[in-house]
Formats: sequence, structure tokens, C-alpha cells
Amino acid sequence: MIKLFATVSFLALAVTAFGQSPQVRVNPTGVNVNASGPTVVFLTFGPLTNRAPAEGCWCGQLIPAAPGIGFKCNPATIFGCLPARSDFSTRSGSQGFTDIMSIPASVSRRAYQAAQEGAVSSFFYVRRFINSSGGPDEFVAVTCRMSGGGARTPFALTDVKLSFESDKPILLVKPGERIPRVKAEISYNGTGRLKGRWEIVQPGDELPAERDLLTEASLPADQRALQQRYTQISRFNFFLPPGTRYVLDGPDPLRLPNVVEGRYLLLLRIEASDDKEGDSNLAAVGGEGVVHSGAVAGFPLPPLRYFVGSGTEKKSEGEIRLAQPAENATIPSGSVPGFSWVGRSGAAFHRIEFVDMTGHAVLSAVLLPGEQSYRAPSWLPERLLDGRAKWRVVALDQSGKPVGETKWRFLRITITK
Amino acid sequence: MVERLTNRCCFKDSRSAFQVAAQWRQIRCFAVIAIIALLSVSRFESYAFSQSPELTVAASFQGAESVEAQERISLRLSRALEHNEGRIAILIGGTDVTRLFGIGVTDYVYEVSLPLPTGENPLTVYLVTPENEWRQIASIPLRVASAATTTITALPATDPPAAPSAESNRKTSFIPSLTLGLKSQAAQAHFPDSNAPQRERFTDFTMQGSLRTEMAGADYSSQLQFDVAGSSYRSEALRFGELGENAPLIDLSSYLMQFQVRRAKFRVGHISFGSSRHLINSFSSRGISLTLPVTKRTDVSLSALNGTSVIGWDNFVGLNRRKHQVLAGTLGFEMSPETPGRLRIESGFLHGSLLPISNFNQGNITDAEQSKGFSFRVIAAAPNDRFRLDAGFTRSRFNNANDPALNQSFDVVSVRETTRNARYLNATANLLDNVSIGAGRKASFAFTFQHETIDPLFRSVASYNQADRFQNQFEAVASVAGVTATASHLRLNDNLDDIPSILKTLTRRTSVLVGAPLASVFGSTGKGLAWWPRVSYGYEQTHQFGAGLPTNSGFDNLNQVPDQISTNQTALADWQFQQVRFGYRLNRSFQDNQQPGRELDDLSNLINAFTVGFTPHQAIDLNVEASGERAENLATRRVDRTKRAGVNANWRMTNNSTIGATLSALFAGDGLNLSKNRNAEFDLQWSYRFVKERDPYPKVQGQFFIRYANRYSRGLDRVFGLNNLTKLQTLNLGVSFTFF
Repeated sequence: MIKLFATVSFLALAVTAFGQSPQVRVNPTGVNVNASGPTVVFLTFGPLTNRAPAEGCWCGQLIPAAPGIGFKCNPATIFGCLPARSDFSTRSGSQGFTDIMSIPASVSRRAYQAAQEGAVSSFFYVRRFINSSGGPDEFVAVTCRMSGGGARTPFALTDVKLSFESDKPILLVKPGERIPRVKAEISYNGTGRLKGRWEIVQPGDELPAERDLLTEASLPADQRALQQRYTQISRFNFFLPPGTRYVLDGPDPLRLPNVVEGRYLLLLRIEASDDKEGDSNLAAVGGEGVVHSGAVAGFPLPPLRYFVGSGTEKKSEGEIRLAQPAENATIPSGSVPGFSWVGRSGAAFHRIEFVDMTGHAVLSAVLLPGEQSYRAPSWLPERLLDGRAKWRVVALDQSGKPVGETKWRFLRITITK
Repeated sequence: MVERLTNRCCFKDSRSAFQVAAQWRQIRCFAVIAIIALLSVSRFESYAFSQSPELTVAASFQGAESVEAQERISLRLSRALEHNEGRIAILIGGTDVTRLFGIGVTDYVYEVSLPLPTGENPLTVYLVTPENEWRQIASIPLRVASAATTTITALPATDPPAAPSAESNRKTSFIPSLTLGLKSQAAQAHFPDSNAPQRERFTDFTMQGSLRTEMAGADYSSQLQFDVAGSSYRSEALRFGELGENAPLIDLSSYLMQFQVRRAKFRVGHISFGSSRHLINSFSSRGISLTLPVTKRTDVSLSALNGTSVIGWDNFVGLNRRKHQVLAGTLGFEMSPETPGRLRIESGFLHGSLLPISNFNQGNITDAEQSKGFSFRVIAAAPNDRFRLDAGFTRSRFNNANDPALNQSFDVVSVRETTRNARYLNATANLLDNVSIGAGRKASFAFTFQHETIDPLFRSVASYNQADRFQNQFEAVASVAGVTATASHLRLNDNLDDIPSILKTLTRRTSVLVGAPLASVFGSTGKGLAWWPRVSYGYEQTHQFGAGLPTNSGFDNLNQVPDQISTNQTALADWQFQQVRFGYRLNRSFQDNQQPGRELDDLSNLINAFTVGFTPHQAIDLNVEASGERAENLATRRVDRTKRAGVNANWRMTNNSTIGATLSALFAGDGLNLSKNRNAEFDLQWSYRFVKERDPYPKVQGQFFIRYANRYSRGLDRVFGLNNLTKLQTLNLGVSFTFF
């Protein structure tokens, strides 16, 4: 491969020496990619001069592109081409072209299976450039080396899912009602700082454009400052170690606006961070400076919507399961039972409640997450009419608001004198 | 650094000097934790033998007129409890709140997890003997002055208190709700012209509505819920991103219909299904599911779901596209139905096909995928949860379906269908479970072992898992008198098939987390109580390195092979006073690259963040945030600094009128003065709510708001020759009416 690139470089220099447009180059020229999942890499091509970018494809082998310039994919080893849904490439600077190379898992899978059969494990991403003045097409390749997708792989987001605690895609709440907790489940390659802001688009605000929903590192340097900003709720900055998955907690629910009626969009705005593996050196492609692209993503980050106004959000049932005692259990008063249940994950507290058959509250107990049993006081039977009671468990959020409950279960404690 | 792992099941790593050093650091961490725990225990033990015959209680609020709902209160026993005396229980009113108190030697501190109940309630202290005899030792009146919306004792007896007769269980409810609104942009100013909003002035109609019905009888119940939302401006339509100009203006945002007959449950709408980690795990989408208890011990769940979460009227049931659908089922068997979870065995199956489409609230790199598979899972727990076990095995056959967008006009190499396995085991032993260590103190200790192996190329369409990994994790959690410590160690390898041309990576991660409410640790009470913060400290070190230079791989230099040690430390402190809350967060991370030729490519980050919450009056909330970030690139010797300040204030002037303001300012730049950024956002909003209710007409609530927003952004970058200045001011107002 070194020989191939040396040849290409020599040809480029030769063409330049004869007064032609310099050949299109790319930086970085080689990257480590995730062998078992998708990968996203920020690439810069240039100088384009009078050339227009065409398709970009992955393949296992290169062959000379003659009569074109450079090396193109061997048609027998093509793993796929950058689909339009993942193509966020754009012109940048004066003669640059920024390409967000989003390698689908199926392409890595093809490369892995080829390596299983003994082929070279690395594969190539080849962009074709069409010469608008009638010259030959140019092909520019990037080497993709198969690795675990951790350190030394560009820090990139490959999957971002935003959700409310209640798991509804869109939430309708009443004015003043607490918005449930929000989380962002993030899959990533590499390692680095995940920093950015939670912003809110309020009723009346202009909606964000697709460019505003991309992470800052997915844009060329000259377009990053042009992203629209909205009301900032909070800022975050966390270190993500080499791994694959991270759950980013949303802003404090108390800070999410819930007074004015209308539609709200909660935006996750990710800023570019310093990451050597994802750097794109513009000096290598006819420009100047190094573009940092830590936290690049090959897709717009989805906004999370909620509406304030009419809402019929109901406490969820069924997520907590009562265990013991069983429905309509009869227990001798000498042995006050232990009560147990399977709690609701994510609840800040659980409250076990006892009422007598008139509905009068007899006892309750607030318990911490993870506690799934409660031993009632010895005097409980004495405070029940006829020894009959109902009990249930309520899940509470951090503010004490119920977020789930079981149905009442009946219980009888026989009074022995 | 170059080493080769010969046996993936054993961790026989040859140790170079830095690995030995890393292990020493891990050992030191464990040693520090152990010493802290021992010191804590020995300190508590020394109190355990103090004696006094009579047990009395003094409260921090005794003599005070009242306390605030958010106030931290404490109790002090006249002496420490002896080993065989049992424990202390604390009730406020009729609510047992013992677990919300931090427990010291003789001090019990309420950590203000939830606001105290308003009004006067007795605080009763019991001595609970080991035989569970509750003897009252004190009852102290507790008066709480300020109102709180939710408190610890908000115990409503919501259901009608009646015997479980069929008649009394019968109920029907029908709850519609509708909000109609008008919002507009009355004025705007912008700079430069390229920063002009898409619409300079506008007026849009909006609506949202819900309908919920419930019916219940002796043996059946049903709940239906529908939510819709709409706007007169097409770009705001819920599915504009998917359908563009064809998106309906009023659309279905979500719905759920649930029917239950005895223990059988049928659901249609937005549901979540699956509890098999590697096959189908909490898969949320639109579809149908049926849960059917077959016998007392056996239950069956079946579901058919759309491949991704969708909204809208189209594809109402979620089963319109067979190529984008997941069919799954679970057969569960409870060995002991009286004690669910004691021993449960589950078997599941899945048949799924996905088109390259993202979920509604998800962005990702999609593929066309198909998989089918089955799984087994065992969940077991010993009595008192002393031992818990969760283990599972999954076998999945996976293939990538034809994807025209990926193939385009090329003859693409086809993916071979593969059948692979995944398995996991989680085992927890609660070796000490709230064991009395004297002086009323408790200690707990639990050890957890987690194992996971996922074969190369393993994939199931309804569960996210990174394939090709073998990992073991050991975790110990100790809790002594309110101080909790967690230590864990993870060992992970990939390239399980040992393909020589693919890089094999090894990961070793060690972490320690310690948290403590200092007030209960140091036994502080009274006025000085609030000055003791709740603190925590976390340390994590990850060493990831390649096993060697793979052959025939495109790797031609050792500097392309990872060898990085990263450390991440976080310290938190929170103070809680009557009207003021204060928080501080310190975070430091260091990425230390060690591969030849890249030894200096290190990154260091330091974050300092402060938050202050101030509630000078019930009607006023003020929050202030300030943070400083320092990022240093040791290779380029460049230091970037970011400073941010934010203020958020709310003033509820009357029951109907609220003013809110938000200000955020950010300053960023580097030490070499190559780049500078200034950003500021300011919002000021007033809203007024009114209610009209006149018989025989239903109640109508209305709201008016007006908001001024100002955005300023200045960016200067001398390397790229960028100089951007953008400004935008908008004035928005709106009115809305909610019916029913």
C-alpha cells in the first residue's frame, strides 16, 4: 500500500509540475475503524479546483483508475457506497470538501468476513471526483484498519437516542406538571470529552434546521459558528473512556420550562472536542490549520418534543410487582409479615402504603432505591379494623411525585387474644 | 508493549513495566478503601460499648417555632445503642422515614431527600428489638411552616375504600382535554442578513389534545389513551422531517389501548417488550402484545411490533410493513408463584427484519437487517435476597438484507448469513445485609460478578450489543453507617476468533466511588449541621492496548496500535441550607498515550463547576451556574479555556402571573490567542393565566405570554481566518385556551 500511495503522490507532483490543477488529496489518509459496528470519521478533501465530488464507496482492493487518476475500487470487492441518508458532505473553505464518512456495520461485516477468509483486513473508502472541465475523474482513497473501535479510533457518535423516563416518543403535560427525567443513550467509538449544552426551543421560536441538529464536529470549521442557538438550560462536559456506550443524563427536570403552553423541543447540542485521532490537517490538502472533530456524528441529533397544555399523562401501572404476602393472604397476628415487591427501575423512592377497609391511612414507609422489602411494625394489627387492610407500593421520583403504583392487595391479620 | 494473548479465556498478559505500575495503583486504591472502611468500623465499634441505662432523644428543632419543609433536621440519642438492643425507627405522622435519615453514632440526620410535611405532625421514635417489637421512646411535635407540593407523607387513599366486591370495583371514566393556541412573532431584528430567520413575522395556530378512557369491572378493565398535536405551519408538523410537505398538520403523537381480562392483558399502541439482554431487550415501538397466564406458574407473552418507534396516523397498528417488523415471544415459568422472582425461567424467540430507518427520537447509522433467534434466561434469588443470579444464553442467526441505497448501482459483495451465540451471568452475594455493628449503625457488603461473551458477528435486530467481546467484571459495594464505597474491576478482550489480520485489543478498567453525608459521619447536629456537605469522589482508570501489530492488516506502524491509559476523577459536594443550595463539581481527566512515537499526544482536562440555588421567598427561585473548563493539548502545548455563567430566575408575582428570565454567557479562547468565542443568550418572559367557569358551560383556562429573546454570538479564528458576528432579537407572544 505504501508503494501505491507513493506512486500516487509522485504522479500528483508530476502533474503539478506541468502546470495542471493539483491532485485532490485527503486527510486523514488512514484511520482505525470498528470491526464490529459502525464508524464515523471526519475527512477533508482538497483542493477541488474544478472538480465536483461524486460517490464514495468502500472496497477491499484498489486497482489503477486509468484512464482516471489515482486508484479506484476493484469492482469485485465493493462493500457498499455511502448512502444518501448518511451523506452530510459539504463544500468547505475555498477549495475544500468535508466528508463525514459513516461506515455502516454491514460494510465492516463484509470486511470482517473477507478477513476471515484470509484477505487483507483493511479496506478502503474511495471518493470519486468528476472534472468539470472534461479531464479524467480522480479517485482518492482512505485506508480503514480493522480494530476494536476504542482508543486510536476517531472519537465519534454512532447512535444517539433521546427519551423521557416515561418512554413515550412525545409527551403531553399539563402546565406546571413536572417534566419526567430525560436521558440520551449514546453509542460511540474512540474516547474523549463529550461536551455541549442542553437547549430548549420554546413556543414561538424558529425551528432548528438540519444543520443546527448536527454535532458541531460534523460541520466544516467555517460553518460551526453559524449554528443557531436557543435558550440554554445547562451545560455538560464529561470524559468518555474507551468503550461503546454512555448514558448522558438530561438537564434537571426542574429547569425544563412547563409554564407557558405550547410545543417545546429539547436539543442536545454537542460541541467539537480535541481528539488527535479525528484531526483533519488542512495543510495536507492545500489549506491551513487543523480541524478538531471529536464527537463527530453521521446524522442529525433528534430533538425531544413535549407539549405543555392539555395532558392526560397517567401514572404507569404494572412496572412494580408485589411479591409477598399474596393477594387475600391471612396471617396470624403474632407474626407481622414482611412485605416485598419488585421495584420500578429508575424510581428515586418507593413508598409502601397501608390503609384499613374504610380507606383510612394506617401506615406508610418511604424506602430507598434497591430496597424491596419492609417489615411492618408490631403494632400494625392493632390499628386495623377487623384485622383487614389493603397495601400497595408507589414509585416516587426525586421530587416525591408518584411515577408508578401497583394495585391494592388485600390482607387479613387474625387477631388472637 | 507488544504482546500476544494466546488464550482468550485466561488473562495471562505479559506485564510490561507500566502495566505493573498500573496494577500497583489499583492495589493502592483498594488498600485505601479497605483502610477507610476499617477505620470507620473501628470508630463505630468503640462507641458500641458505651453504656447508659435510659434512652432519650433530643431533636434539633425542639424549642423552635417551626422548621422549613426543606430544612435539615436531626435527632440525637442520649447514648449509643448496644449490639442486642436492635435499631431505631422514626415516623413522621404515619410515615416511616427511617431510611431517609443518615445514621451516626448517636445522631440521625434527615438528609432532605423529600420535603417535610406541612403543618404539625408528631415525630415518633421507636426502639425496634431484634424480635420486631416496636417500643416508643419519644414523640416530639414537628411544625413545618412552608408549603411544599409533594412531601414524604403525601399518602392518599386514592381508591374507594371498600371490600373487593364486584360492584364496587366497577368504574368508568372519560377524560378529554383540548388546548387551542395562537403564537406569533411580532418583531425581530437580526445581523447580518445571512442570519435572517426563515420567517420574519408570523402567526400560527396550534392545537394539542388528549383523550383517556377507563372502564373497570370485577374481572376486566380497559384503558385507552390518545394524544394528538398539530400546527398550521407545515414545518412544525410532527412528521415534517419524514414526509415534508405531505406531513399532516394534525397528527397522532402516541396512543395506547390496554385491555385486561382477569390476568390476561392485551395492548395495542406504543409498547415496550422483551427482557432478554441479547435477543430483545425493552424494545419500544408501536404494535400489539398479549400477556397470557397459562397456569399459576406459567405465563406467555407475545408481541408484534414495528421495526422502529413511529408516530402518526399512518401505520396505526404498526404492522403495515412486513420487512420492518419484529415478532417476539416469551414463555415464563415461576417455580414458586407465591414468591415471584425466587426462581424464574424464561425462554424467548424473535423473528425480525429492519429497513434502514431510525427511530423517531434516534439518530444512528442504519442498515437493512434480518435476524431470528432464541434465548434462555434464569433469574434466581435466595430468601432475603442474600444471593441473586441472572444468567442468559442467546443464539441468533443474522443477515444483512439487500439495501439499494447502500448498493447503488454496484455489484456489492454479499454478506454471509451467520449464526452466533451470546451469554451472560450476573451473580450477587449480599455477604452482609444491614448487620448491626453497634451504636445503631449498620453495615452491608455485597459482591457482584458479571460475565459476558458475545461472539464475533453476533447481532439481533431488537437489542443493541457490541459483538466480539469477552469480559469479566468484579464489583464490591460496602456501606458502613451511611458511607458507601464501590470498587470494580473490568477485564475485556475482543477479536475472539483470533483473526491474525485484525487488531486484538485488551481493556482493563478499575474504578472506585466513595460517597458520604459528612454530617452523619462526624455526628454534627444543630446549627452547624447544614455546613457539612454530602460529598462523593470517583476515580476511574482505563488501560486499553493492542495485543500486537496484526499482520496483513494495513497496520504498518506501532503508533497505529492503541496503548492508552486514561484517568478520570470526579469530586462532588452539596450543601443544603434553609434558603440556599450550593453545589460544587470538580472533574479531571487525563489521556496518556504510550505507543511509540505518540508519547506526547496527551490531553488533560480540568472542570470546575458551581451551582447556587436561592429561594428567598416562596414565590421566587433563583439559580446561578458558573463553570470553568481547561483543556490542554500537551503535544501542541495549546490550552483552551471556556468560562460559562448562567442565571435563571422565576418570580410568581401572583397566582396567575409569572415572570421568568434566563441569561447565559460563554467566553472561550486559547492561551495563544488564536481563537475567541463570545456567546450570550437572554430571555425574558411574562405569562398570565386566567380561568373562566360559568354554569352550565365547562371550565375554560386561558394563558397569555410575551417573550423577548436576544442572541449574540461572536467567533474569531485566526488559523482559519474566520470572523463571525451574529445577532438576533425576537419578540414572541401567544395566547392559548384549554377546554375540559
